[in-house]
Amino acid sequence: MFQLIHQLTLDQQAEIFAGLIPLFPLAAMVIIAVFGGKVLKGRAHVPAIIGIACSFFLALLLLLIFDVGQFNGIKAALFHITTAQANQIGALNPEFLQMKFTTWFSAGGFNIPFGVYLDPLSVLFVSFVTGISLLIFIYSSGYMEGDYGYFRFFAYLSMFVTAMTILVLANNFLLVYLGWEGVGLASYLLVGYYYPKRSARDAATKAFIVNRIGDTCFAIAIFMIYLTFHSLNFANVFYGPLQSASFRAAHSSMMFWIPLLLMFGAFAKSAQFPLHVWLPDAMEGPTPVSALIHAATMVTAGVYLIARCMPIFMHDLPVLHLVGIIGTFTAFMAATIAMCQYDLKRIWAYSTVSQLGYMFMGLGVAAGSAAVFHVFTHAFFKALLFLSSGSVMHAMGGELDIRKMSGLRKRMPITTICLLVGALSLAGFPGWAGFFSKDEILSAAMNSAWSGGPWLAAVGLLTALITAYYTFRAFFRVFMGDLVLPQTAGLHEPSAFALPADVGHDDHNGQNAHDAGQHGHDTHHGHDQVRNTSFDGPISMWGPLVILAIGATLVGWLGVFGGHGDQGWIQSFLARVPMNAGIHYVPTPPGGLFLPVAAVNRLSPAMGMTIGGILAIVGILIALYFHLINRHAAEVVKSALRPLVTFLENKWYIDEIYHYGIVMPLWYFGRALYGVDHVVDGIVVNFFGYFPQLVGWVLKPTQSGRLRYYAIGMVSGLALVILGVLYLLR
Amino acid sequence: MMMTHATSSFSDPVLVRYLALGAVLFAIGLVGFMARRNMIMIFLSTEIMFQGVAINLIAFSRYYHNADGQSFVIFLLTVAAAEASLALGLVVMLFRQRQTLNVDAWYDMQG
Repeated sequence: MFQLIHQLTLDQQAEIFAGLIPLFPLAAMVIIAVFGGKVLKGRAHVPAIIGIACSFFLALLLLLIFDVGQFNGIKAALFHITTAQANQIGALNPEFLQMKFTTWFSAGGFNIPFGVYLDPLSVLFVSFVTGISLLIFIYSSGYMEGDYGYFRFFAYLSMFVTAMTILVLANNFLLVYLGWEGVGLASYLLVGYYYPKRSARDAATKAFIVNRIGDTCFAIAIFMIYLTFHSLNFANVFYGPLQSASFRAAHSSMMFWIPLLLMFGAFAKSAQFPLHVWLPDAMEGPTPVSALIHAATMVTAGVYLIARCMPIFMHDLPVLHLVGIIGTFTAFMAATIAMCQYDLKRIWAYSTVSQLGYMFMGLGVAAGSAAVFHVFTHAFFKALLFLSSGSVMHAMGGELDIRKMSGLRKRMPITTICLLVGALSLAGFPGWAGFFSKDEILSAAMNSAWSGGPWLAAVGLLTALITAYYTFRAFFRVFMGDLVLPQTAGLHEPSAFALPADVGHDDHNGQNAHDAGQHGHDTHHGHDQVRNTSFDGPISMWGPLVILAIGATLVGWLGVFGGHGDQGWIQSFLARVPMNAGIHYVPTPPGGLFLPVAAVNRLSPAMGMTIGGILAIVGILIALYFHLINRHAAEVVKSALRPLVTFLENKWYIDEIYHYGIVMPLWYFGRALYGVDHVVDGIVVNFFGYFPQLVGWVLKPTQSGRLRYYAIGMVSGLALVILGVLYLLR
Repeated sequence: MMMTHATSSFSDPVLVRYLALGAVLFAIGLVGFMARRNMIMIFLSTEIMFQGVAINLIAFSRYYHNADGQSFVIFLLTVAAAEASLALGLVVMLFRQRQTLNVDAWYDMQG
């Protein structure tokens, strides 16, 4: 078979690899769904991990193929081609590869293929999606061990990965929509994984419904795209008549509404204001779900969509600027809310909303590569933060309130270090990944040709300060200081499935030590290795954490070194994706950062990075003071600023506004309709039911059983008939 | 069979008398059929109705100098006889059920 593959050209090999990527998780899902209940049970993670590992391997091959010349030696050796040939795909032409595998459906002139569209953007996305998924799958096998419905979890996860890879590899809008809906469904199923819990069911429904709003906008946008361009393929839409100004002028209203609706679709999926309300509630799902879906992959689908559709957005700058404005506002809002949350996962959830806001800020100033770079680094450190929090939650028996724990570094050293790395990255501490990607977005905003750019950058810098503060508030509260354990520390979390706690194992408290042999046959929520010294968890849990920590540390440097000229590897890799200032990027960056052409240098990049770094350190120091050195001062400040704190604790009351403004009126409307329905059912329908009864009741006396009356009846009827005939014949 | 006249047959005084007799008989039979309680009397009333019809037929037959009416009456009488025997057989069976000839005894067909 390898002979067969080698005979194809590099282009065709790339396309075939891409086509196979969604198939492995799909096969895994089918296998787990069919065999998981009886056969696989506790080993259901095996097909899932194998499937995703194969996909990840293929994604790495794709990454290699699309690389722009850094790894030509490896490419040439692996694919048996010359170095010159190895560089060929890395050249500026063609911008993308496209291949159709089969037709999904075809009706008249409307033809939708199953096909892949490969350009650096999709290749980068698919590689980190599969990579982070692989790590999270491995983590999940430890975290979810012994859980009821273990195989269901992995089936849903595999379905999610299938849908996500279809989303990023699709070559037409309808296939993207398929993946879009698929990830939304997987999110619903996984957030509602603990379905006996009322809060989990509600959160899943909320996530799905809010996403639906965006899906509707996206669907309408797809209809409009078809009406305008008569095709849904990316090649036809982006590189066809869009380029001609007369076409755009003829369809000016479509050219306004399509990006606007795409924006709303993206905002629902990526949890931006005003459709962000589902993401914090989605933390009801298991922690690996939060890490994978709501941090690293699904929520980045919105960013992917807008980056992919940049050619459309570039011709409607007001909408693009709106994207930036809403993104920036969301970043600020979510950061302020995160400052006053006490649930560890909620803090990271709002942090995700905030960082997604940064990504949209980057897209809004037409610095797509910066935004995608931030997506890439964010996936690493946010997954790291969530998984570390999962370890904490696991060790603390389900407790996540940061006011109830402190000083955990003594018991969970590995997790502490990993979370610290993630926190440094998120805060944008100089040298770690978040620093480079976030500051690149801020520089692009500062130096943008748009006059609103610097305003966005200013808000972004303030948000960066807040980000550093809340991140390290969580870190210092939970891991530093004196050791305070919550009551449930070391105990098993009660199973949401209401199974008896002592099925198949003996009850224990935090003092007994387990041996590894007890794992696996419990039917309740997974448990930790409770030793006197460490709560870190099995290697399947802290292993991926360490790998992610290394990644979070190193991937930032990919944006600095390794590219053409002064660029980083990422920027060169993404150079020929048309999402930077609407033209093919021409590499002329001072200091290795992107600037759209015709930028105005308001602040040199070096200055920008310095300010960003200083703000991060200042934020960390503030958190250090209030949450480690002098925690009492935090209480004093909190009571002094009580109104503001309450406002932030209650998430700007947005949920309440939605509840009283939208949900309750709809609920009452529903009740009113129910009343109308009741009336219609009760009166109209029942009337039609009563009518025959009425007729019967009226006619009943004629059946008295008395034969003489029957005789009278016969005679009178006969008389009537005769009289009638006589009358008619007269 | 009916001859078209300019004037109606019912204006002929002699015919009218016979038709009136037939009508009276039919009416007596009809009222008796409806008003009697005794099953045999009900069937007697139906026989009277038959005879009323027969007289009408004979009268028309004589008026139009046509033998059709009279021959039909022969059929009628035969049918009446057959029907009477059938009816009396039914009456006997019904009598055996309730030991009474009162037609009001079978009110359980009500509803």
